[in-house]
Amino acid sequence: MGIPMTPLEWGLDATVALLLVGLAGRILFTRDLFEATVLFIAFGLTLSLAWVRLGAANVALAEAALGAGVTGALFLTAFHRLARRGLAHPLDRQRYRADELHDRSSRGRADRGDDPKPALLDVGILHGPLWLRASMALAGLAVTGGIAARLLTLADRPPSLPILVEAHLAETGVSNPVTAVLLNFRAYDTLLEVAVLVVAMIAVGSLDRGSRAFVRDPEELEEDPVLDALSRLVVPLAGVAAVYLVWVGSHGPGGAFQAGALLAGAGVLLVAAGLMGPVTEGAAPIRALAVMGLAIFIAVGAGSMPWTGSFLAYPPGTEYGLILLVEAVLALSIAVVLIELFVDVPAVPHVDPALAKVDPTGDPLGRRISPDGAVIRNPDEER
Amino acid sequence: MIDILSAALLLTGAFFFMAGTLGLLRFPDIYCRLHALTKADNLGLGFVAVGLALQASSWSARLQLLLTWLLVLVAAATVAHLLARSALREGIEPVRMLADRAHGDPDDAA
Repeated sequence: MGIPMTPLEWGLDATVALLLVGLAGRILFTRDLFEATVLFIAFGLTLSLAWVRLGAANVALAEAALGAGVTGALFLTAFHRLARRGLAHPLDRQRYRADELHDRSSRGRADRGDDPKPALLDVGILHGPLWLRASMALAGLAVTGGIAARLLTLADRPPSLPILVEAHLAETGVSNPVTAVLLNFRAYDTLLEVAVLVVAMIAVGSLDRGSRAFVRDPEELEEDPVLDALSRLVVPLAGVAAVYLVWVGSHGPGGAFQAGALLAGAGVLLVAAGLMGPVTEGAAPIRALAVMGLAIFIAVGAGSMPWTGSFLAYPPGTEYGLILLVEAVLALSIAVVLIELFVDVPAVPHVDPALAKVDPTGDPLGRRISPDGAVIRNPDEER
Repeated sequence: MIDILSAALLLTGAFFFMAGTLGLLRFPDIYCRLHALTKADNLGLGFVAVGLALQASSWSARLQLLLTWLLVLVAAATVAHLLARSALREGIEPVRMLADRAHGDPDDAA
Protein backbone atom coordinates (compact mmCIF):
# COMPACT_ATOMS: atom_id res chain seq x y z
CA MET A 1 0.00 0.00 0.00
CA GLY A 2 1.36 3.37 -0.97
CA ILE A 3 -0.12 5.33 1.93
CA PRO A 4 2.40 5.79 4.75
CA MET A 5 1.28 4.33 8.06
CA THR A 6 0.80 6.44 11.14
CA PRO A 7 2.58 5.47 14.39
CA LEU A 8 -0.79 4.34 15.71
CA GLU A 9 -1.22 1.89 12.84
CA TRP A 10 2.35 0.66 13.30
CA GLY A 11 1.61 0.10 16.96
CA LEU A 12 -1.60 -1.77 16.20
CA ASP A 13 0.04 -3.99 13.59
CA ALA A 14 3.02 -4.71 15.81
CA THR A 15 0.72 -5.60 18.72
CA VAL A 16 -1.32 -7.96 16.56
CA ALA A 17 1.81 -9.61 15.16
CA LEU A 18 3.45 -10.07 18.57
CA LEU A 19 0.20 -11.31 20.06
CA LEU A 20 -0.10 -13.92 17.29
CA VAL A 21 3.41 -15.25 17.82
CA GLY A 22 3.00 -15.23 21.61
CA LEU A 23 -0.35 -17.02 21.47
CA ALA A 24 0.97 -19.60 19.02
CA GLY A 25 3.92 -20.34 21.31
CA ARG A 26 1.74 -20.65 24.37
CA ILE A 27 -0.73 -22.94 22.55
CA LEU A 28 2.08 -25.25 21.51
CA PHE A 29 3.89 -25.38 24.81
CA THR A 30 1.20 -25.36 27.47
CA ARG A 31 0.45 -28.66 29.17
CA ASP A 32 -3.13 -27.67 29.85
CA LEU A 33 -5.39 -28.75 26.98
CA PHE A 34 -8.18 -26.43 28.09
CA GLU A 35 -5.87 -23.45 28.06
CA ALA A 36 -4.60 -24.44 24.61
CA THR A 37 -8.18 -24.70 23.35
CA VAL A 38 -9.26 -21.32 24.67
CA LEU A 39 -6.08 -19.67 23.42
CA PHE A 40 -6.64 -21.25 20.00
CA ILE A 41 -9.94 -19.39 19.78
CA ALA A 42 -8.22 -16.18 20.86
CA PHE A 43 -5.57 -16.88 18.22
CA GLY A 44 -8.25 -17.23 15.51
CA LEU A 45 -9.86 -13.94 16.48
CA THR A 46 -6.50 -12.15 16.53
CA LEU A 47 -5.67 -13.68 13.17
CA SER A 48 -8.92 -12.39 11.69
CA LEU A 49 -7.95 -8.95 13.01
CA ALA A 50 -4.67 -9.34 11.14
CA TRP A 51 -6.57 -10.17 7.95
CA VAL A 52 -8.69 -7.05 8.40
CA ARG A 53 -5.49 -5.01 8.72
CA LEU A 54 -4.25 -6.60 5.49
CA GLY A 55 -7.46 -5.51 3.76
CA ALA A 56 -8.74 -9.09 3.28
CA ALA A 57 -12.24 -8.83 4.75
CA ASN A 58 -13.28 -12.11 3.11
CA VAL A 59 -10.52 -14.08 4.76
CA ALA A 60 -11.14 -12.28 8.06
CA LEU A 61 -14.79 -13.33 7.98
CA ALA A 62 -13.91 -16.92 7.16
CA GLU A 63 -11.19 -17.03 9.81
CA ALA A 64 -13.48 -15.67 12.52
CA ALA A 65 -16.38 -17.95 11.59
CA LEU A 66 -14.51 -21.16 10.68
CA GLY A 67 -11.06 -20.85 12.24
CA ALA A 68 -12.06 -19.40 15.59
CA GLY A 69 -15.76 -20.25 15.79
CA VAL A 70 -16.38 -23.68 14.33
CA THR A 71 -12.91 -25.16 14.92
CA GLY A 72 -12.78 -23.70 18.42
CA ALA A 73 -16.15 -25.18 19.28
CA LEU A 74 -15.08 -28.56 17.88
CA PHE A 75 -11.92 -28.46 20.01
CA LEU A 76 -13.98 -27.55 23.08
CA THR A 77 -16.27 -30.49 22.39
CA ALA A 78 -13.28 -32.79 22.05
CA PHE A 79 -11.81 -31.44 25.29
CA HIS A 80 -15.10 -31.99 27.07
CA ARG A 81 -15.20 -35.60 25.94
CA LEU A 82 -11.60 -36.18 27.02
CA ALA A 83 -12.27 -34.54 30.37
CA ARG A 84 -15.36 -36.63 30.92
CA ARG A 85 -13.19 -39.69 30.66
CA GLY A 86 -10.61 -38.19 32.96
CA LEU A 87 -8.06 -37.67 30.19
CA ALA A 88 -7.91 -33.90 29.95
CA HIS A 89 -4.69 -33.43 31.87
CA PRO A 90 -1.32 -34.81 30.84
CA LEU A 91 -0.87 -36.64 34.13
CA ASP A 92 -4.20 -38.37 33.66
CA ARG A 93 -3.17 -39.51 30.21
CA GLN A 94 0.06 -40.96 31.58
CA ARG A 95 -1.89 -42.76 34.27
CA TYR A 96 -4.35 -44.00 31.69
CA ARG A 97 -1.60 -45.44 29.57
CA ALA A 98 0.00 -47.11 32.58
CA ASP A 99 -3.37 -48.61 33.54
CA GLU A 100 -3.89 -49.78 30.04
CA LEU A 101 -0.53 -51.50 29.83
CA HIS A 102 -1.26 -53.15 33.14
CA ASP A 103 -4.66 -54.25 31.90
CA ARG A 104 -3.22 -55.69 28.77
CA SER A 105 -0.67 -57.75 30.57
CA SER A 106 -3.01 -59.00 33.29
CA ARG A 107 -6.43 -59.47 31.81
CA GLY A 108 -6.44 -58.18 28.25
CA ARG A 109 -8.67 -55.53 26.83
CA ALA A 110 -11.86 -57.51 26.60
CA ASP A 111 -13.76 -55.47 29.16
CA ARG A 112 -12.68 -52.15 27.78
CA GLY A 113 -14.47 -52.56 24.51
CA ASP A 114 -12.83 -50.55 21.76
CA ASP A 115 -11.71 -47.52 23.70
CA PRO A 116 -9.57 -45.42 21.41
CA LYS A 117 -6.10 -44.92 22.79
CA PRO A 118 -5.48 -41.29 23.74
CA ALA A 119 -1.71 -41.79 23.84
CA LEU A 120 -1.14 -39.90 20.61
CA LEU A 121 -2.14 -36.67 22.29
CA ASP A 122 0.98 -36.11 24.28
CA VAL A 123 3.53 -37.89 22.16
CA GLY A 124 5.20 -34.96 20.55
CA ILE A 125 8.48 -33.95 19.08
CA LEU A 126 9.17 -32.38 22.48
CA HIS A 127 9.90 -35.80 23.92
CA GLY A 128 12.39 -36.69 21.19
CA PRO A 129 16.18 -36.62 21.50
CA LEU A 130 18.01 -33.32 21.36
CA TRP A 131 19.45 -33.77 17.85
CA LEU A 132 15.96 -34.44 16.51
CA ARG A 133 14.50 -31.37 18.19
CA ALA A 134 17.43 -29.25 17.05
CA SER A 135 17.15 -30.36 13.44
CA MET A 136 13.39 -29.76 13.47
CA ALA A 137 13.99 -26.26 14.78
CA LEU A 138 16.64 -25.66 12.11
CA ALA A 139 14.34 -26.93 9.37
CA GLY A 140 11.57 -24.65 10.60
CA LEU A 141 13.91 -21.69 10.67
CA ALA A 142 15.17 -22.51 7.18
CA VAL A 143 11.65 -22.60 5.73
CA THR A 144 10.66 -19.38 7.50
CA GLY A 145 13.89 -17.71 6.47
CA GLY A 146 13.45 -18.86 2.88
CA ILE A 147 9.92 -17.50 2.66
CA ALA A 148 10.97 -14.25 4.32
CA ALA A 149 13.94 -13.83 1.96
CA ARG A 150 11.76 -14.50 -1.06
CA LEU A 151 9.13 -12.01 0.13
CA LEU A 152 11.71 -9.34 0.83
CA THR A 153 13.26 -9.68 -2.62
CA LEU A 154 9.79 -9.56 -4.18
CA ALA A 155 8.90 -6.33 -2.44
CA ASP A 156 9.94 -4.00 -5.25
CA ARG A 157 8.01 -5.76 -7.97
CA PRO A 158 4.31 -5.03 -8.29
CA PRO A 159 2.23 -8.01 -7.19
CA SER A 160 1.13 -9.45 -10.48
CA LEU A 161 -1.76 -11.75 -9.56
CA PRO A 162 -4.14 -9.10 -8.19
CA ILE A 163 -3.59 -7.06 -11.34
CA LEU A 164 -4.37 -10.05 -13.55
CA VAL A 165 -7.50 -10.74 -11.50
CA GLU A 166 -8.60 -7.12 -11.78
CA ALA A 167 -8.03 -7.15 -15.52
CA HIS A 168 -10.18 -10.21 -16.08
CA LEU A 169 -12.77 -9.61 -13.37
CA ALA A 170 -15.41 -8.52 -15.88
CA GLU A 171 -15.21 -11.89 -17.64
CA THR A 172 -16.05 -13.85 -14.48
CA GLY A 173 -19.60 -12.62 -14.03
CA VAL A 174 -19.02 -11.46 -10.46
CA SER A 175 -17.43 -8.30 -9.15
CA ASN A 176 -15.95 -9.64 -5.90
CA PRO A 177 -12.37 -10.64 -6.77
CA VAL A 178 -12.25 -13.30 -4.05
CA THR A 179 -15.40 -15.02 -5.29
CA ALA A 180 -14.07 -14.75 -8.83
CA VAL A 181 -10.88 -16.53 -7.81
CA LEU A 182 -12.65 -19.14 -5.68
CA LEU A 183 -15.36 -20.13 -8.11
CA ASN A 184 -13.98 -19.24 -11.50
CA PHE A 185 -10.22 -18.90 -11.85
CA ARG A 186 -9.47 -21.53 -9.26
CA ALA A 187 -12.73 -23.44 -9.02
CA TYR A 188 -10.76 -26.70 -8.85
CA ASP A 189 -9.34 -25.74 -5.45
CA THR A 190 -12.74 -24.93 -4.06
CA LEU A 191 -14.23 -28.12 -5.45
CA LEU A 192 -11.56 -30.18 -3.72
CA GLU A 193 -11.97 -28.27 -0.46
CA VAL A 194 -15.65 -29.10 -0.41
CA ALA A 195 -14.83 -32.72 -1.22
CA VAL A 196 -12.47 -32.79 1.79
CA LEU A 197 -15.28 -31.59 4.04
CA VAL A 198 -17.65 -34.27 2.79
CA VAL A 199 -15.00 -36.97 3.21
CA ALA A 200 -14.34 -35.76 6.77
CA MET A 201 -18.02 -36.08 7.56
CA ILE A 202 -18.15 -39.59 6.16
CA ALA A 203 -15.06 -40.52 8.18
CA VAL A 204 -16.54 -39.18 11.42
CA GLY A 205 -19.84 -40.87 10.66
CA SER A 206 -18.19 -44.24 10.22
CA LEU A 207 -16.14 -44.10 13.44
CA ASP A 208 -18.60 -46.05 15.50
CA ARG A 209 -21.69 -47.14 13.67
CA GLY A 210 -24.71 -47.76 15.80
CA SER A 211 -24.09 -45.62 18.84
CA ARG A 212 -24.72 -42.01 18.25
CA ALA A 213 -25.03 -39.32 20.84
CA PHE A 214 -24.70 -35.61 20.88
CA VAL A 215 -22.15 -34.50 23.44
CA ARG A 216 -24.79 -33.60 25.98
CA ASP A 217 -25.99 -36.26 28.35
CA PRO A 218 -29.69 -37.06 28.23
CA GLU A 219 -30.06 -35.86 31.82
CA GLU A 220 -28.52 -32.54 30.86
CA LEU A 221 -31.02 -32.18 28.06
CA GLU A 222 -33.64 -30.47 30.10
CA GLU A 223 -35.28 -27.31 28.98
CA ASP A 224 -33.51 -24.08 29.55
CA PRO A 225 -35.86 -21.18 28.88
CA VAL A 226 -33.01 -18.72 28.36
CA LEU A 227 -31.18 -20.80 25.78
CA ASP A 228 -34.50 -21.56 24.15
CA ALA A 229 -35.34 -17.87 23.86
CA LEU A 230 -31.90 -17.04 22.50
CA SER A 231 -32.19 -19.71 19.80
CA ARG A 232 -35.62 -18.54 18.75
CA LEU A 233 -34.29 -15.02 18.42
CA VAL A 234 -30.91 -15.69 16.83
CA VAL A 235 -31.54 -18.60 14.47
CA PRO A 236 -33.95 -16.74 12.13
CA LEU A 237 -31.53 -13.79 12.08
CA ALA A 238 -28.68 -16.15 11.21
CA GLY A 239 -30.77 -17.57 8.37
CA VAL A 240 -31.37 -14.12 6.91
CA ALA A 241 -27.72 -13.19 7.34
CA ALA A 242 -26.62 -16.40 5.60
CA VAL A 243 -28.79 -15.72 2.56
CA TYR A 244 -27.41 -12.18 2.50
CA LEU A 245 -23.83 -13.46 2.70
CA VAL A 246 -24.32 -15.80 -0.27
CA TRP A 247 -25.89 -13.02 -2.32
CA VAL A 248 -23.38 -10.35 -1.34
CA GLY A 249 -20.55 -12.79 -2.03
CA SER A 250 -20.83 -12.04 -5.74
CA HIS A 251 -19.83 -8.40 -5.28
CA GLY A 252 -18.43 -7.94 -1.78
CA PRO A 253 -17.01 -9.78 1.22
CA GLY A 254 -19.09 -12.89 1.81
CA GLY A 255 -19.70 -16.23 0.17
CA ALA A 256 -20.58 -19.87 0.63
CA PHE A 257 -18.09 -20.75 3.37
CA GLN A 258 -19.01 -17.80 5.58
CA ALA A 259 -22.73 -18.38 5.07
CA GLY A 260 -22.31 -22.10 5.69
CA ALA A 261 -20.46 -21.47 8.96
CA LEU A 262 -23.20 -19.11 10.08
CA LEU A 263 -25.92 -21.64 9.30
CA ALA A 264 -23.92 -24.34 11.04
CA GLY A 265 -23.68 -22.16 14.15
CA ALA A 266 -27.44 -21.72 14.08
CA GLY A 267 -27.93 -25.47 13.67
CA VAL A 268 -25.63 -26.33 16.57
CA LEU A 269 -27.47 -23.79 18.72
CA LEU A 270 -30.76 -25.47 17.83
CA VAL A 271 -29.43 -28.89 18.79
CA ALA A 272 -27.90 -27.56 22.02
CA ALA A 273 -31.19 -25.93 22.97
CA GLY A 274 -33.01 -29.18 22.28
CA LEU A 275 -35.14 -27.57 19.58
CA MET A 276 -33.80 -29.89 16.92
CA GLY A 277 -33.20 -33.53 17.67
CA PRO A 278 -29.73 -34.91 17.10
CA VAL A 279 -29.59 -35.88 13.48
CA THR A 280 -29.48 -39.61 13.35
CA GLU A 281 -27.16 -41.70 11.34
CA GLY A 282 -28.48 -42.87 8.04
CA ALA A 283 -30.97 -40.06 7.62
CA ALA A 284 -31.06 -40.01 3.84
CA PRO A 285 -32.16 -36.37 3.42
CA ILE A 286 -29.25 -35.22 5.58
CA ARG A 287 -26.74 -37.21 3.57
CA ALA A 288 -28.28 -35.94 0.36
CA LEU A 289 -28.00 -32.33 1.57
CA ALA A 290 -24.40 -32.89 2.61
CA VAL A 291 -23.23 -34.08 -0.80
CA MET A 292 -25.57 -31.87 -2.82
CA GLY A 293 -23.12 -28.94 -2.96
CA LEU A 294 -20.35 -31.13 -4.30
CA ALA A 295 -22.70 -32.89 -6.73
CA ILE A 296 -24.13 -29.68 -8.18
CA PHE A 297 -20.68 -28.11 -8.40
CA ILE A 298 -19.47 -31.11 -10.43
CA ALA A 299 -22.68 -31.21 -12.46
CA VAL A 300 -22.37 -27.55 -13.38
CA GLY A 301 -18.69 -27.96 -14.18
CA ALA A 302 -19.23 -31.04 -16.32
CA GLY A 303 -22.56 -29.91 -17.79
CA SER A 304 -21.09 -26.82 -19.35
CA MET A 305 -18.26 -28.72 -21.03
CA PRO A 306 -20.08 -29.02 -24.38
CA TRP A 307 -20.14 -25.20 -24.59
CA THR A 308 -16.80 -24.35 -23.06
CA GLY A 309 -14.72 -27.42 -23.83
CA SER A 310 -13.15 -27.56 -20.38
CA PHE A 311 -14.19 -28.75 -16.96
CA LEU A 312 -15.41 -26.12 -14.47
CA ALA A 313 -15.57 -23.33 -17.04
CA TYR A 314 -18.85 -21.46 -17.30
CA PRO A 315 -20.41 -20.62 -20.67
CA PRO A 316 -20.24 -16.85 -21.35
CA GLY A 317 -23.30 -15.03 -20.05
CA THR A 318 -24.26 -17.67 -17.50
CA GLU A 319 -21.39 -17.07 -15.04
CA TYR A 320 -23.31 -14.94 -12.57
CA GLY A 321 -26.30 -17.27 -12.31
CA LEU A 322 -24.23 -20.44 -12.16
CA ILE A 323 -21.81 -19.10 -9.56
CA LEU A 324 -24.69 -17.90 -7.39
CA LEU A 325 -26.40 -21.32 -7.74
CA VAL A 326 -23.23 -23.20 -6.81
CA GLU A 327 -22.58 -20.82 -3.88
CA ALA A 328 -26.10 -21.21 -2.50
CA VAL A 329 -26.06 -25.00 -2.61
CA LEU A 330 -22.52 -25.10 -1.29
CA ALA A 331 -23.51 -22.96 1.69
CA LEU A 332 -26.28 -25.42 2.58
CA SER A 333 -24.03 -28.44 2.21
CA ILE A 334 -21.18 -26.87 4.20
CA ALA A 335 -23.66 -26.07 6.98
CA VAL A 336 -24.99 -29.63 7.06
CA VAL A 337 -21.48 -31.12 7.08
CA LEU A 338 -20.35 -28.86 9.91
CA ILE A 339 -23.46 -29.59 12.00
CA GLU A 340 -22.91 -33.30 11.43
CA LEU A 341 -19.31 -33.01 12.61
CA PHE A 342 -20.68 -31.72 15.93
CA VAL A 343 -23.70 -33.89 16.32
CA ASP A 344 -23.11 -37.16 14.58
CA VAL A 345 -20.26 -38.39 16.72
CA PRO A 346 -20.01 -41.71 18.51
CA ALA A 347 -21.37 -41.83 22.00
CA VAL A 348 -18.80 -41.40 24.77
CA PRO A 349 -17.65 -44.94 25.43
CA HIS A 350 -17.36 -46.66 28.75
CA VAL A 351 -15.80 -44.52 31.50
CA ASP A 352 -13.09 -46.19 33.51
CA PRO A 353 -14.30 -46.19 37.14
CA ALA A 354 -10.81 -45.52 38.52
CA LEU A 355 -10.47 -42.47 36.33
CA ALA A 356 -14.05 -41.41 36.96
CA LYS A 357 -13.16 -41.15 40.62
CA VAL A 358 -10.39 -38.75 39.79
CA ASP A 359 -12.55 -36.57 37.59
CA PRO A 360 -16.18 -37.60 37.43
CA THR A 361 -17.47 -34.39 35.98
CA GLY A 362 -15.34 -33.90 32.95
CA ASP A 363 -14.69 -30.42 34.09
CA PRO A 364 -14.28 -27.72 31.47
CA LEU A 365 -13.42 -25.21 34.19
CA GLY A 366 -10.08 -26.71 35.11
CA ARG A 367 -11.28 -27.76 38.56
CA ARG A 368 -10.80 -31.30 39.72
CA ILE A 369 -12.18 -33.50 42.39
CA SER A 370 -9.85 -35.45 44.61
CA PRO A 371 -10.62 -39.05 45.62
CA ASP A 372 -12.13 -37.92 48.94
CA GLY A 373 -14.56 -35.68 47.11
CA ALA A 374 -13.02 -32.29 47.85
CA VAL A 375 -12.84 -29.81 45.05
CA ILE A 376 -9.35 -28.86 43.98
CA ARG A 377 -9.61 -25.49 42.33
CA ASN A 378 -6.37 -25.40 40.47
CA PRO A 379 -5.10 -28.66 39.02
CA ASP A 380 -1.52 -27.39 39.10
CA GLU A 381 -1.57 -27.01 42.86
CA GLU A 382 -2.12 -30.69 43.22
CA ARG A 383 1.10 -31.69 41.57
CA MET B 1 -16.33 18.60 19.15
CA ILE B 2 -17.83 15.37 17.89
CA ASP B 3 -14.34 13.90 17.78
CA ILE B 4 -13.73 14.73 21.42
CA LEU B 5 -17.07 13.30 22.51
CA SER B 6 -16.48 10.18 20.48
CA ALA B 7 -12.97 9.75 21.87
CA ALA B 8 -14.31 10.14 25.41
CA LEU B 9 -16.95 7.48 24.79
CA LEU B 10 -14.41 5.08 23.25
CA LEU B 11 -12.07 5.58 26.21
CA THR B 12 -14.93 4.95 28.64
CA GLY B 13 -15.68 1.75 26.76
CA ALA B 14 -12.02 0.76 26.91
CA PHE B 15 -12.06 1.44 30.65
CA PHE B 16 -14.94 -0.98 31.12
CA PHE B 17 -13.17 -3.66 29.08
CA MET B 18 -10.07 -3.11 31.17
CA ALA B 19 -12.04 -3.34 34.41
CA GLY B 20 -13.79 -6.48 33.17
CA THR B 21 -10.48 -8.12 32.27
CA LEU B 22 -9.04 -7.17 35.64
CA GLY B 23 -12.08 -8.73 37.29
CA LEU B 24 -11.71 -11.87 35.21
CA LEU B 25 -8.12 -12.21 36.37
CA ARG B 26 -8.49 -11.15 39.99
CA PHE B 27 -11.95 -12.13 41.24
CA PRO B 28 -12.10 -15.16 43.51
CA ASP B 29 -14.63 -17.45 41.83
CA ILE B 30 -16.43 -18.08 38.56
CA TYR B 31 -19.59 -16.22 39.57
CA CYS B 32 -17.75 -13.01 40.39
CA ARG B 33 -15.70 -13.34 37.20
CA LEU B 34 -18.83 -13.75 35.12
CA HIS B 35 -20.22 -10.63 36.74
CA ALA B 36 -17.11 -8.67 35.75
CA LEU B 37 -17.06 -10.05 32.21
CA THR B 38 -20.70 -9.35 31.52
CA LYS B 39 -20.28 -5.77 32.68
CA ALA B 40 -17.43 -5.35 30.22
CA ASP B 41 -19.40 -6.86 27.35
CA ASN B 42 -22.54 -4.89 27.96
CA LEU B 43 -21.34 -1.45 29.01
CA GLY B 44 -17.92 -1.44 27.37
CA LEU B 45 -19.24 -2.49 24.00
CA GLY B 46 -22.19 -0.11 24.40
CA PHE B 47 -19.86 2.87 24.90
CA VAL B 48 -17.65 1.79 22.02
CA ALA B 49 -20.69 1.39 19.76
CA VAL B 50 -22.02 4.85 20.62
CA GLY B 51 -18.56 6.33 20.17
CA LEU B 52 -18.29 4.74 16.73
CA ALA B 53 -21.85 5.69 15.82
CA LEU B 54 -20.89 9.35 16.20
CA GLN B 55 -18.19 8.80 13.58
CA ALA B 56 -20.34 6.73 11.25
CA SER B 57 -21.14 8.23 7.88
CA SER B 58 -24.64 6.85 7.46
CA TRP B 59 -27.68 5.89 9.47
CA SER B 60 -27.52 2.35 8.14
CA ALA B 61 -24.04 1.98 9.64
CA ARG B 62 -25.35 3.32 12.97
CA LEU B 63 -28.24 0.86 12.87
CA GLN B 64 -25.79 -1.97 12.23
CA LEU B 65 -23.76 -0.89 15.26
CA LEU B 66 -26.91 -0.83 17.38
CA LEU B 67 -27.93 -4.27 16.13
CA THR B 68 -24.46 -5.66 16.84
CA TRP B 69 -24.60 -4.32 20.38
CA LEU B 70 -28.06 -5.73 21.02
CA LEU B 71 -27.08 -9.18 19.70
CA VAL B 72 -23.93 -9.27 21.80
CA LEU B 73 -25.99 -8.17 24.80
CA VAL B 74 -28.41 -11.07 24.37
CA ALA B 75 -25.67 -13.59 23.65
CA ALA B 76 -23.48 -12.48 26.57
CA ALA B 77 -26.37 -12.64 29.01
CA THR B 78 -27.29 -16.13 27.82
CA VAL B 79 -23.72 -17.40 27.95
CA ALA B 80 -23.21 -15.99 31.45
CA HIS B 81 -26.41 -17.68 32.57
CA LEU B 82 -25.41 -21.03 31.05
CA LEU B 83 -21.89 -20.92 32.52
CA ALA B 84 -23.16 -20.01 35.98
CA ARG B 85 -25.84 -22.67 35.88
CA SER B 86 -23.46 -25.38 34.76
CA ALA B 87 -20.91 -24.35 37.40
CA LEU B 88 -23.59 -24.50 40.10
CA ARG B 89 -24.73 -27.92 38.86
CA GLU B 90 -21.19 -29.24 39.01
CA GLY B 91 -20.99 -28.21 42.64
CA ILE B 92 -18.79 -25.13 42.58
CA GLU B 93 -19.92 -23.15 45.59
CA PRO B 94 -19.90 -19.37 45.47
CA VAL B 95 -16.92 -18.05 47.43
CA ARG B 96 -19.16 -16.32 49.96
CA MET B 97 -20.79 -19.58 50.99
CA LEU B 98 -17.42 -21.25 51.44
CA ALA B 99 -16.22 -18.35 53.59
CA ASP B 100 -19.36 -18.45 55.71
CA ARG B 101 -18.94 -22.11 56.33
CA ALA B 102 -15.30 -21.70 57.27
CA HIS B 103 -16.32 -19.13 59.91
CA GLY B 104 -19.03 -21.40 61.19
CA ASP B 105 -21.86 -19.07 60.25
CA PRO B 106 -24.92 -20.72 61.85
CA ASP B 107 -27.29 -19.41 59.15
CA ASP B 108 -25.45 -21.34 56.53
CA ALA B 109 -25.28 -24.62 58.43
CA ALA B 110 -28.14 -26.11 56.43
